[in-house]
Amino acid sequence: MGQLLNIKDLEVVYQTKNIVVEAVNGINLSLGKKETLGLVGETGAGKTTMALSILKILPERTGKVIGGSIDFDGLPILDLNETEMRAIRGARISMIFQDPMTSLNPTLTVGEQVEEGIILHDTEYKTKVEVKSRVDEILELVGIEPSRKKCYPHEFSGGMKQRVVIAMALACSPEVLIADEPTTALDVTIQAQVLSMMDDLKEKLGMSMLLITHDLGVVAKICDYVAVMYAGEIIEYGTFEDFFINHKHHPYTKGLFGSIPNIRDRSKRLNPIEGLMPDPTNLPMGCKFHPRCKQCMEICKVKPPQIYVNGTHRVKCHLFEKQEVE
Amino acid sequence: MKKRIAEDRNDSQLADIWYRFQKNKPAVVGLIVITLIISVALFADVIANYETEAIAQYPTERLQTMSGEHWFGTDGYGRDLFARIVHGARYSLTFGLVCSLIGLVGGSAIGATAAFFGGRVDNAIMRFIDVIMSIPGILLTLALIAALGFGLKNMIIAMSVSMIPGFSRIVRSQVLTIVRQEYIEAAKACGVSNARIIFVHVLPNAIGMIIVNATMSISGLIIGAAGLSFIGMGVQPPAPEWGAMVAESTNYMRMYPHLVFFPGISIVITALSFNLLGDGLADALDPRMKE
Amino acid sequence: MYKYVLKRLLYILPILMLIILIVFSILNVTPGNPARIMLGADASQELVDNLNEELGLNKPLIQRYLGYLAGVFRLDFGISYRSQAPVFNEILGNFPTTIRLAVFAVLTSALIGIPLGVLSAVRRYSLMDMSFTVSALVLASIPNFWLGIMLMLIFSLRLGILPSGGIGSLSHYILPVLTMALPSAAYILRMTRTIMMETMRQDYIRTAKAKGASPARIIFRHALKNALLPVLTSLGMNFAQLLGGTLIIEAVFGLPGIGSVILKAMQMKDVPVIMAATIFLAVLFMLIMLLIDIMYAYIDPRIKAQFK
Repeated sequence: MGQLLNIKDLEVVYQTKNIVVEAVNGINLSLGKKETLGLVGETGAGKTTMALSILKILPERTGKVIGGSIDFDGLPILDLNETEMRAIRGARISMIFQDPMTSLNPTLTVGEQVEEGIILHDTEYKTKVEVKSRVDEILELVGIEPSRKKCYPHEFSGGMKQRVVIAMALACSPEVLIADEPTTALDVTIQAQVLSMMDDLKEKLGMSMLLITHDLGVVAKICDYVAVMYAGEIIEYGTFEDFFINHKHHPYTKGLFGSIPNIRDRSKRLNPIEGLMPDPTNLPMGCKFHPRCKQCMEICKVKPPQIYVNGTHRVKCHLFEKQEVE
Repeated sequence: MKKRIAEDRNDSQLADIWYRFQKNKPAVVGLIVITLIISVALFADVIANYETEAIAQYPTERLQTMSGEHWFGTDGYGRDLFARIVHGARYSLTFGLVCSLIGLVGGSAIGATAAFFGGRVDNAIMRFIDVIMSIPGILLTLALIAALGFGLKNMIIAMSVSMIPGFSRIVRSQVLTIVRQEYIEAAKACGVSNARIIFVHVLPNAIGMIIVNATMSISGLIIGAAGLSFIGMGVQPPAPEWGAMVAESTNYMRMYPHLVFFPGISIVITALSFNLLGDGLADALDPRMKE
Repeated sequence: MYKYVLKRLLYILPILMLIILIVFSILNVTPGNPARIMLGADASQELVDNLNEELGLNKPLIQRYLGYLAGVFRLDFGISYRSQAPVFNEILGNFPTTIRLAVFAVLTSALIGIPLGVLSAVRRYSLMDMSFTVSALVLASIPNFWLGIMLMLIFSLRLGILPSGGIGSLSHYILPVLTMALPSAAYILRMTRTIMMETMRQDYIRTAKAKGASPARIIFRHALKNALLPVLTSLGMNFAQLLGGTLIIEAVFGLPGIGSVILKAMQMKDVPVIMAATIFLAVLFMLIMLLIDIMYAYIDPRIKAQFK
């Protein structure tokens, strides 16, 4: 294996009194050292749920992992207790959340929030002076004037807040950074800035990154590997080349490409995927994508497809059965 | 045909509310107890004669403890405590129901006016209400009683008027949240008339929370009226008002604690029932409120 | 910061004038005859008319209001009909008892209500949480005078460990303060629980968790400060209720505070005293709300920033 993070057959549900939501249904993923994996999918596909289960911070009363395993650098995450997990959170695996507006505590200064991780974890920065200089260093790294650490979040713009969130996540030099739609809540111009900064920092600090997004453009910019998620399953996985150079894709992935406006191709209209994500409390039989699939066959309605492997490229679709034989 | 569909929808909505309400057992108990107390108040004269049993004094039978003849014993004037408590239910229920109804009507008028007109009218009305609400409620009631004079009618007027500012605020905020919802925008965009928006879209949606608040206020009114009577500013002796009965018996309470216990616990049970009912209605009308 | 306080203090002035107007109108529109009350039923009509003239009671309402208002700003609240002494002196002597009672009660209820509310939110749906919920509901349904009487029955008449009334030592305050504080504590507990649960659902709490903060640290460093703001507001709102409650509690325990002054004045239709006492309590309430606003600004950097 030799991978840093291995997720096997992960299954997560949300349970309330009389409803069970199957959010993640048997996911296999792995992330190597210094790699960037892009996890793509529509809202509600289970991307965030998967990220939260890696840190074991699913909503306490409702979210529950019911199967599978997560292995991080030889540690069985799902079997660790809270204290052991706390030592990993923020120190070895960090997370950046989607909305910087609400992810920062309004009553604490930016400096206090950045230094918290450093103080909480057993890092090389022990004394107050060392912690202070580390905070300055990390703020500078994300492009914030260290003198502004006494400011409160409300004094920052959206893009600057996201930089603070990133600084918080990087404070302890984690091995894995999970970024959950880090640019979705930002203006388009700021998006590019933040994204290229994250890419730079990743290289500089030698981290692995799990980048969650619904934006294939973002993936094309910085990812080594791509996984497409639909209704709690990975339906296509491959290298950057498999996705952006080859043209054999899962119909859903094709649909995702069809939803991106193309400047060169003026005559064509956008070609979005029709229909909506299936109700996760009542998933369809067979292939979960079949009700929306333009190439749906009879078999798709009854039998869930298996995964077809072609080198690094893996697709979960009945269409690939024949091609495999060829 | 169209009308039928609307009726069906209302029916099923009511059925839904009832279904959620009856699942809340404490609220059902509250409703049953309230029904019981209301029946007791309605049939008080059948249970015990007002003049001979609740008012007339029997010096030879004073300060008796609980017995088959006098279930709750007798007070310092030899009057049957049970008979007095039965008749006292009439006072408490009257204060609770009448005052909250008057307060609700007045508050709805003011609150809805403020919300519909908005702008300066709203501002002026709400600032004025803020000011009134910085006078503790019981003081406002007392000042009104001081101005109007003692007596049952004046007490009801004073307590009702004191309820108006609070209700105005609630009704206003309810109406405002609904007016600001997108479906109202949508209705406006579709060219629905103002009157139709108010009566078809706003009121039915606001009425739930308003009913809940009115129910919750009843227990406060019952407690408040008993308090006023207790300090001698409300219903005057020898009338069998529960608060006044407690006040009358404080002299004997060291030896005869049941004299202060029974009227007091009657207030607690009545108030608690209305609180339970209000809680249940709140949950039943707005299931989102619950986690 | 002082700018903010100053601004809020100035804001009180017009409100105070409005309160006085409201109370003044309520108590003066109905034609009671103070001169008749002061002189007694036997006095001749001529004497009554003279006194009315002297007190300025035959002038139009608005003129009398302005006169009264002018007096208030010189701390002249008129003469008591009953004792013929200046109202201000009469009230000032009784004010400390009421303030002490209210302040002790507010502190006690906050000290009980906030920690238990936090605990209830953290251990929600536990047996403890449920029993708190039930107690809070029952306490909200008990009239304060009866609660006072029951506490008195148990702790002073039966057990004999606390005095049943009057003032003297600090122990005289225990029962009245408890009587006032318990229902408020129940209310504050419920508010704190709701607000705390809402706060714990915020994104920044999840951020703190992702940083590896312990549950205790999340509650005390991240949630409590944010939750405290709305809790403070409900504490302030509850204070009006508490102040009104002193009226009844003073009667139960025989304490010489503003409440007993008002009750005596009510019986005598001593309008100047009722008016002054009401104004006093309203001002006290507004000052407390001001104090809470200042604390608000102190806790919330967003508000503080506006007045730097």
